[in-house]
Amino acid sequence: MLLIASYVFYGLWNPPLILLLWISTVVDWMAGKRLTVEENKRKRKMWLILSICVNLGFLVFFKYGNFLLENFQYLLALINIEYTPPAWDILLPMGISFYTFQTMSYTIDLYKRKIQPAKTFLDFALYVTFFPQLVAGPIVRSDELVPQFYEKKRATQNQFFMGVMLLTIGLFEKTVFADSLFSPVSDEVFGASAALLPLDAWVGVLAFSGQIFFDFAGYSLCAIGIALMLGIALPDNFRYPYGSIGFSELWQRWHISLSSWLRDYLYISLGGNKISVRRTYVNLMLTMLLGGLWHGAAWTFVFWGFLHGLYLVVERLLKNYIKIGKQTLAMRLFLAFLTFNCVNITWVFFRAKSFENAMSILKSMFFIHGETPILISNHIVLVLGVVSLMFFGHFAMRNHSLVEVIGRTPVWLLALGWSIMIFGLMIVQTSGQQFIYFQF
Amino acid sequence: MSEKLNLKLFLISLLIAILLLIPYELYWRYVERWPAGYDSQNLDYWADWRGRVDDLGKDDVIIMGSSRGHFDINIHLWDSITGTRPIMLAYAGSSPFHPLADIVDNSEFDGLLVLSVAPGLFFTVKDSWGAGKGRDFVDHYYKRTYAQRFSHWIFQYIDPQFSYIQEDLSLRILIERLPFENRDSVQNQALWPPMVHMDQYRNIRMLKGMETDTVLQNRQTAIWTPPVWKNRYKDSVDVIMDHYVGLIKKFKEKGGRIALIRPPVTGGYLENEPILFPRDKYWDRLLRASNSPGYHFMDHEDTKNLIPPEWSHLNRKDADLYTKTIIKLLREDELL
Repeated sequence: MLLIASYVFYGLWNPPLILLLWISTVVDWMAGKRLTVEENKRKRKMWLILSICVNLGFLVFFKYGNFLLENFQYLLALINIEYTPPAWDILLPMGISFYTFQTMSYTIDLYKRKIQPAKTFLDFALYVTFFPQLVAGPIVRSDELVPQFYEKKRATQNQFFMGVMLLTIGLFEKTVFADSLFSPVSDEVFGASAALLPLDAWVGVLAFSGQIFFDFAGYSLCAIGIALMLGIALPDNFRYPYGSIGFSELWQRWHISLSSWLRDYLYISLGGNKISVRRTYVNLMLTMLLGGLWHGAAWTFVFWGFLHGLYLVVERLLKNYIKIGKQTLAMRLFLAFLTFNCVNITWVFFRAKSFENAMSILKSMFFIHGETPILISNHIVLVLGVVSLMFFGHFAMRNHSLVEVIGRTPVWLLALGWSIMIFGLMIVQTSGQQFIYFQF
Repeated sequence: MSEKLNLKLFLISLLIAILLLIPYELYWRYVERWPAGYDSQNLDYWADWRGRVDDLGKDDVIIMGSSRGHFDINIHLWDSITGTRPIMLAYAGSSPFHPLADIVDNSEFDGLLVLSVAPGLFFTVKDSWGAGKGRDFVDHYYKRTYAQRFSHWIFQYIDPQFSYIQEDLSLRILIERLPFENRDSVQNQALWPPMVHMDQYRNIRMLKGMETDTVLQNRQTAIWTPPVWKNRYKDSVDVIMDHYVGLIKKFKEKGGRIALIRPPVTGGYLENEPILFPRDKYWDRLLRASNSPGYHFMDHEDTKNLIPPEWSHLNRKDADLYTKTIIKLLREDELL
C-alpha cells in the first residue's frame, strides 16, 4: 500500500519519470543482492561500481548535462574552436539528487558489510520511494528505515498527533515565513539591476538566509511528521543551525542527512583526517566542493562549497593555534553571531544568478557602491525582526529538541500555538511555490 | 513522545483556528466589502477555459487582453444577444503578448478573436512585468502537475464561498500593505479596494461599492497614478508591432477573424495615454499594419461619453451598453 502510494505520489508530478526511479531501484537491488552473496573481491567491486555508475550517470545526465556542455563549449572557445552544443531541454527529475544518494548508501554499506540487505525487493523499493522523504530528504540510511518496515506498524495516538503537529509547524514555516515574508524580499534584492544601499542588500541576504532555512527545514519537518503519522521515525535533518558556534558545528546541524552522507561516503573514503594534516584539509575542501556541486549545476554553487571548505580549514588552523578557555555566554553568542554572518556571505553565492550578481550584492553589503533603496519599510522591519528572533531562538535551542520542548509546554500554550499556526495556514494563500530543495 | 498531543488537543486547536477565521472572513466580507466569488487572479480558472479552446468552432468567440477587456464585456449578455457565450481569456494586469501567441501557434481556433488594447499593458516587450504575468498563466496551463489539477478540482467549489480567498488578500500582499512609514523614495502600496466579482465563466461585474463610493474610487485612482506617467518601451515599438502584426496575420491565414477594441477611459488615463501612446503611432498603426478592424471608444457616439468610475473600468450598466455596442459594430462589419 505504502509503495503504491509512493509511486502515485511521485507520478502526480510527472508519471513517465517513475521509470527512472524504478531503474535505479532495480539496478541497486540486483547489485545489493550480489554484494550480499559474492565473496570475490573484484566482482564485489564491479557490482559496487555498477551501482555508482548508474546512479551518478543519471545524476550527471539529468542534472549536469547542460552544465558540462556549456563548460565544454567555453573551454573550446578559449582555444578558438567554435562549437554550438545542441539545445537540450532536459527536465530535472524531482528528487533525483536525494534518491540516488539514498540508494548508493545502500550498496556502499552492503559492500562494506555494514548492514543487512532488505529481505524483499518490495521492501527495498519502499526504502527508495517512501514518499514523505522521496523528493527532498532526509536522506535516510537503510538500517534506519528498512528494519521499521518489519515491525508491526501502527502509530499510537501520541505519535500520530505529534506527526500532525510537526506537519503543521513545517507547513507554517514554509508558507508563512519562507514564501510570504522572506521570498519576495530576497527575490527583489537579488533581482535588482541597480546597486543597492547596504541596508537593502543585507536585508535581502538575511531574507534569503531565513527563506532557505524555513523552506528546507519546513519540508523536512513535514516529511518527518507525515512519516510519524504512519508510525515511521525519520531522523532529524536540522538542529537549530543558525545557533552554531563554528563551521564544524554548523555542518552537524544543517542538512544533517547530506552532511553525514558526505562525511561517511566521501570524506572518510578519501582518508578523512587519518592520513596527514595537509591531506585532511584537501579532503575537507574536496568534500565541500562536491557538496556545493550537489546543490546545483553552476559555478556559484561550487564556490559556495569552496567558501564552506575554506571556513572549515581556517577553523581547524585557528583551533590549533588559538585556545579559548571557558566561554562566557556573551562570547558564545558573539561567536555564533560571527558564524551566522559568515554563513550569510556564502548564501550570496548560493542565491545569486551569477558571479556578477553575487559581487554586486557583496559590494552593496560592504558599502562599496549603491545609492538605490528598493525595499519598503514593512519588509525591512519584519525581516530584521523575524531573523533576529530566528537567530536568538536557534541559539537558545542549541541543546534542546523540538519534541522535548513540545513535551514541556503547557497544554493551553500548545493549543494556542497550534491554533495560530492552523489559522495562519488557512489565511496564507500562497501560489504554491515549490520547495527550494526540489530543484536540487 | 508527549502524551499531551492527542485528538482532543488537535480538535480544540482546530476549533480555535476556525473561531479566529470567522471574524477574519466577516471583516473582509462586511467591513472591507470583498465579495465571495472566483478569484480573478487564479491561474487554474484561466487554464480550465484555455483547455476548452480546441473545442471551439468558426462561430465562437474568444476575448483576450487585460482588465479593460475583461471587466467591460459581459459575456452572459453577449450570449443572450448572439446565442454564443465567448470564452473570456482576458486577464487583469497582463499583456496578451504571450497568450495571443499561444492561441495562434498552439490551437486550432479559427473563430472570432476580440483583442482588447490597454496601451500601457498591450505595447510592452516580451520580458516586461505585464508580459511576464501573461506568460505565467500560459505556462501554468501547460505545466500544471496532476497534483495541482487535483487540488484545484477539490477546492474550486470551496474557495468561492469565502471572501478572504483572493490573491489580493494573501498574507504576502497583506504584509506588503501594512501601514508602516514609507522610506524616502520607496512607497508602500496601498491595499487594493474590492472592485469586481467574477463567476465560474470568468465573467466580471463591477461591485456596487466601487460604482458609487467615491472613497473607494479615489483609493483606486491613487493606485493607478504613478509618480511619473511614462511609456517604458517607446524605443521598442517596432519590435512590439512586428510581434502582434505577425501573429494577427498568421491567425487570419488560418481562417480566423480578429477585431481590436479600445475600451473607454477617463481621468489620468484619458489625459496621458494619448500623449504617451499617440494614436497614429500606436493604435492606428497597428490597425493599418495588421489590416484589422478596430473600435476605439472615442470614435463612436455610444461609447465616447462612457465614464469609468475609477478611470479604467466600466460599471455594470455601462459595461452592458458597451457590450451591446461592440456586438452591433461587429455585426455591421460582418465579423459576427
